Amino acid sequence: MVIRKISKKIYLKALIITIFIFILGLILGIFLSGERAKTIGEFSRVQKLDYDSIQLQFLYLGTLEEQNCLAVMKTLEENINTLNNVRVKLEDYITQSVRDNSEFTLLKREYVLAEIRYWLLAQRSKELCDIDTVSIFYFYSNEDCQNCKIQGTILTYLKDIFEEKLLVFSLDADFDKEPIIDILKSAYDIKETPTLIVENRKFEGLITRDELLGVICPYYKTKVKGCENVR
Amino acid sequence: MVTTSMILVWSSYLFFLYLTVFWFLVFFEKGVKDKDGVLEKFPHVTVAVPAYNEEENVKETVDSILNLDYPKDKLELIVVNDGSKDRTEEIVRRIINNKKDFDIKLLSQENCGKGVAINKALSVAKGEFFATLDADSTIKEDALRKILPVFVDQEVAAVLPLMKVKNPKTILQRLQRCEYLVNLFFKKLMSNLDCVHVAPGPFSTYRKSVIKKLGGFDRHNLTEDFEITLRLQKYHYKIVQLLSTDVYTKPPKTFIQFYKQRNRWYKGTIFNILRHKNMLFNTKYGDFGLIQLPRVFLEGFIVVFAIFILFLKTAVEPLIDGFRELLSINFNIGSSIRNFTQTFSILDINITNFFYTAVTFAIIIFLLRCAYKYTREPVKKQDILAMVIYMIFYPLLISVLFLGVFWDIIVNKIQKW
Repeated sequence: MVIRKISKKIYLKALIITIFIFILGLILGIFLSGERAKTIGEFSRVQKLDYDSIQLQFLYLGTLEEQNCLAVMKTLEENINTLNNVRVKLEDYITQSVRDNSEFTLLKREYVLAEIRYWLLAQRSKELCDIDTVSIFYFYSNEDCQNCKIQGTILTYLKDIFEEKLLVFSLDADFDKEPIIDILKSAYDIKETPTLIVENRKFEGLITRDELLGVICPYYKTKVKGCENVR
Repeated sequence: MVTTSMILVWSSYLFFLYLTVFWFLVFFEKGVKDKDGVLEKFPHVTVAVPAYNEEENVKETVDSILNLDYPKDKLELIVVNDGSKDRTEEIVRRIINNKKDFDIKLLSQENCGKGVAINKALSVAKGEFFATLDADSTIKEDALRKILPVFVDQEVAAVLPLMKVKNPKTILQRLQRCEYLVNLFFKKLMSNLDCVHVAPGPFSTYRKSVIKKLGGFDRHNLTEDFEITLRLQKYHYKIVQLLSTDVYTKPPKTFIQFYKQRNRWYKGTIFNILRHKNMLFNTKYGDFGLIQLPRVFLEGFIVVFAIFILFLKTAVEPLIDGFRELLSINFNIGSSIRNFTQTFSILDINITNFFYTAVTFAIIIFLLRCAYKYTREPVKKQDILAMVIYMIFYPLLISVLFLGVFWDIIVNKIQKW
């Protein structure tokens, strides 16, 4: 007869080591979250300065006889792009973070407000400069919205073609921490995601690349690269 | 945000991590050395070879037994022809005629399975010790000289050599070689804590009196070798894994054969544990009841649910999603790539998952190193690919096999109703 033993010490040691490894992973994650929040926070400060700067530029332009809008429009587009990229990152970070991070929520509010601020500025600058651009308001959701990912890819693709001639402003329709989202949602009567508002026309559900080209291109007064095949 | 699938994957990760850490601690505290022993007298040994349609392999198997470095008059060989439809019997008869100085017997029966065949041999065996050798396996000359000294300890009822893969040719065989070696390393550690859960068919050697006392092998069992080991554990006998001698076996070459073999093994495992379920989590059986048997039993379920979900979530879903996304822009991936390269930063890496993955790979690499080292196997160039496949796809492969098992069980149940 084998004398049966229970290796209690080994069970305990193994448990401690396992928990240690698991917690180490979590701590690394929390540390990373902190670093991420810091970086995005810095972006956010720069972004606010950029906004102030471009607002001033437009104001100054308004006082001049001879207007050189093109350069300022280019800067505006670049700012919106950066804003958008950081927003996508921020959202990735939020989905990855193990615990709810209030810092991230604050940052996200800042980015939502920035998007809207830029949208308003873009509307005004279009009147001021009489420039050929199309604005899209894009309502999406990060939860269970496979079509949103596809719509996002299509929009990225179109941005790559039209550059400063297409301005996309993205809003998380599920984000309830910022009241202005609700106001915009009821203004445009948003019921599902993805929904696109192209120059005040509403399109619900996924819109394919070609459909979207067919919607955007007629808005351009001049010949635009990318619209050659669209009647 | 923590999702349900993440919790599921994490808990199974912890389950496997805990078990691995547990056995590593056993390794660091107790080591993996065989006890040295010299054979002082030569007891009578019976080797039983059950054979069913083994005309291609049986001669080699029998030869390897006759070549054992052991006195001829103390060695008895019994080949049981389990109703072969090929020339197996003829070949064995010819060997008997050619090797008159050896004690070789041929028993024949209608085809009724390995369990019955071994029992038939057991009933006429003269040896004090009883070894079985499947007719597709061969042993090294020193096998008995290494195995028998262990039986000096009267508690020992079974001694196992290292079961290795003979001349792996296909990538599937190389993969199995990798798996066998890792399992053998674990088995040696398990042997340290009297936790060996299976004495496999190829040349596991038993103390005959014990097997007889337990009523022999189960006659109709998917895995009679697993069943007899469970019974040995049930009655608290000692089972010892050796590192110093090898038995070579031919693992399935094709995926279909492999699938069938594993399907049988895993079903046998589940059914036999259910038969002896009172041993599960039973402190009377020490570490075997507390950690080993539950692991063997739960492994399949956890592998299926966790690995499958992990694989779906981290590989299949993103691939399908990615494909749909690319399809939506006619595969003009330039914009996506530019966008990615312009915005990527080191902070984007999910360090928690990265860390857990790194720990896993470190563990597996260390495990492979130990496995090859302590089973005295050189690492050849061709093995590297098999090792990489082992590291990345083996869990997935096992989960597919288990899915098949569960599917069969469910379908069978429905048919019975």
